[in-house]
Amino acid sequence: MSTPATLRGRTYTQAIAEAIRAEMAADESVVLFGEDVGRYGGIYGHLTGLYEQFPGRVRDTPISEAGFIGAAAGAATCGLRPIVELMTVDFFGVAMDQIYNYVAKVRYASNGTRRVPMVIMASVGNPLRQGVTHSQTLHGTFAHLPGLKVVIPSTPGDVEALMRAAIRDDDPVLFLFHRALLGISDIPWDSTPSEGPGIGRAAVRRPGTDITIVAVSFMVHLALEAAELLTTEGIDAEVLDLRGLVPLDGAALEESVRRTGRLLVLDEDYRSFGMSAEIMAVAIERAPDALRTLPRRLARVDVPIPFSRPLEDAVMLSPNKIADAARATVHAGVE
Amino acid sequence: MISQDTRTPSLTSRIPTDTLREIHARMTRIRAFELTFQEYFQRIRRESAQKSGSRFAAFTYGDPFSGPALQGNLELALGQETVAAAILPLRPSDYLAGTHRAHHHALSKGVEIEPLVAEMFGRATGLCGGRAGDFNIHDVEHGFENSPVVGQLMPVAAGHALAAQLQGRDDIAMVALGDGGVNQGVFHEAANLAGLWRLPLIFLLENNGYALSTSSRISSPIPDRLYTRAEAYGFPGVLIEDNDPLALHDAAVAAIDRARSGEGPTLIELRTDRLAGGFEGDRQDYRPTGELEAARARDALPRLTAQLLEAGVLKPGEAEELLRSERERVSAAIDAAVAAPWPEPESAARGVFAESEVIEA
Repeated sequence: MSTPATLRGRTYTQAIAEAIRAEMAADESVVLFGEDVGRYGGIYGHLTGLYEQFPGRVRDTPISEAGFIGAAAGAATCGLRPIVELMTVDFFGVAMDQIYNYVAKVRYASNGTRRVPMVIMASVGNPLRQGVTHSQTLHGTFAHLPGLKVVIPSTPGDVEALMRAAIRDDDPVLFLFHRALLGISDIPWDSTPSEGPGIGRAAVRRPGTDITIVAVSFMVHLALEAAELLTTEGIDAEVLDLRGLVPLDGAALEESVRRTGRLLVLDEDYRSFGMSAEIMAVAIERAPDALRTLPRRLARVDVPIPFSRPLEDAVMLSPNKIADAARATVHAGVE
Repeated sequence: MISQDTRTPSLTSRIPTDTLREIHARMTRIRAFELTFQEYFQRIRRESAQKSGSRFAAFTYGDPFSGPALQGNLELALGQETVAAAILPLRPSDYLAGTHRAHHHALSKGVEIEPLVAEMFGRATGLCGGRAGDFNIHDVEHGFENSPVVGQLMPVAAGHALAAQLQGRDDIAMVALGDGGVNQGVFHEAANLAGLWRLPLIFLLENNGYALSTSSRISSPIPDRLYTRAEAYGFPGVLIEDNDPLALHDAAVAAIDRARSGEGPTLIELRTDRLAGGFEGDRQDYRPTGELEAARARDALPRLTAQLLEAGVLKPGEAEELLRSERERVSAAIDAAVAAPWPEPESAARGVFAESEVIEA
């Protein structure tokens, strides 16, 4: 595989700005608010140039996440399409009433008379090893609550496809971009934005016959590394990138599990009551007859994410740990 | 309290007769609504207690049609009808956000009695098809919503104001809060944004002295000058004493003009009285002896009625007749709601997202 021509040389970070730029140019109701999103161009440089290109539509805010997320929600009900940035997902706590009790519930409670077409973007992940409150992924927390779509791109092409779809969506979408992926480009298995599936559609990143490894975001990359390790042992793993959790592409999950007969779910988020359990449950509900071995999961240990590197590594996934879990899943059924 | 002869001509020259009548009529409608529901609640509470010991025990899962007709909490704004004087000058396209105690906000903003009552009874004919109750009313046509999460809609109202500003409309937003809500962090965030961006937003602070049972004397270091918090965010705070609807009306008209002409936000603090409990069933034993009686004695609605009678704006008997006819309308709305269809149970799973059906995994 080679990188699609439209994506050559472009990073995940640049794709964020380009997607927003394209939508802001196409629709003047799209506005952007948040901390350091304007003059500074976003703390990762992922919003560079937007402030200059769209005067008045890109607004630096005070450090008032509840205030500006709520304001964006109100503005969204008035016909704007705001994008707001929660700088890191760990900051959700200070704004959660607005997100969970307002944004997520308005369409339903208003019986469809009010809608909240807004994007809440937040960075996730911990490449800088920043400790307990700058390191989480938390997609399970948001996916648990009805009313928020949750998209989690793993590639520059997906950043573009999913951000553009999120901005156009008539419902609130949480867009979680991973800090460990900011610099990536030229991903051979990337999908082109124009061909790429929209919100709620998974993508097979590596076809295989022996086991389905389900992941999102950074874990997709680790899963592919693990799949390479497994080829030397004659295990052919399929890697399914969900690209988001809500809505969940249950059909793609079922299809893949029916093809391979085995399932391993990876999750960088905490283990209990989250994505890994949900994906296993959905697979069992949809394809109980197809599973040749018990499905398995590998997720972050249920502890706050420690600062020191050996401590964090002890509770985090790695390609070797993934390969071990996949091997155990495949061999569990061998007599 | 007593209008003086010298004040009579100045009253109608200050505020047009029609406006005075309208304020009085809307306050009367709210009074009628709240009194009718208070009586209705007391009746079903008695009946439930006789039947099953308490109102809570009367609810059973699996049989939604048994149990008392009125579900949920009932929080009445008796005594706070005054806010109508601040809300009536708003346009339908202006936005108003109410609180957990919101019947007076809704009725002042033009929300119709019948769909509001039907919503309170969880019926398909309700404002939100029975999905919201009176804690989360949405009435887009009349520019209204409310939330029982104290302070929640202050940023949202700022967003309505911001949208009007960005879209070049001269609509404004008003958000109601209380002496409890002014202690929420989001008040300070929203006030800061409003002051910073000169948003067309009015904070209507109803200071009734209590956040449920908690007196503002033990929740604020400055209980007697909450309005001064506006100053910290660079916009004026105005105090209206004595639960005075006409002074409130004047202040609101000035604040609305200011907001509409791009000069930014205003906070109006109204000293008002909560003549009912924090919720129906509230014992109110936290109130000092005599406080409630004193509040009832200075009740704003009869005071306004007397003032308007004296000024010749109302004819003798007119106020009583109006209250009677509004109460009849509310009673009829309750009867209609109780007879109205329930929402289809299958519809509960729909409408979370724009796609009409819940997305199955």
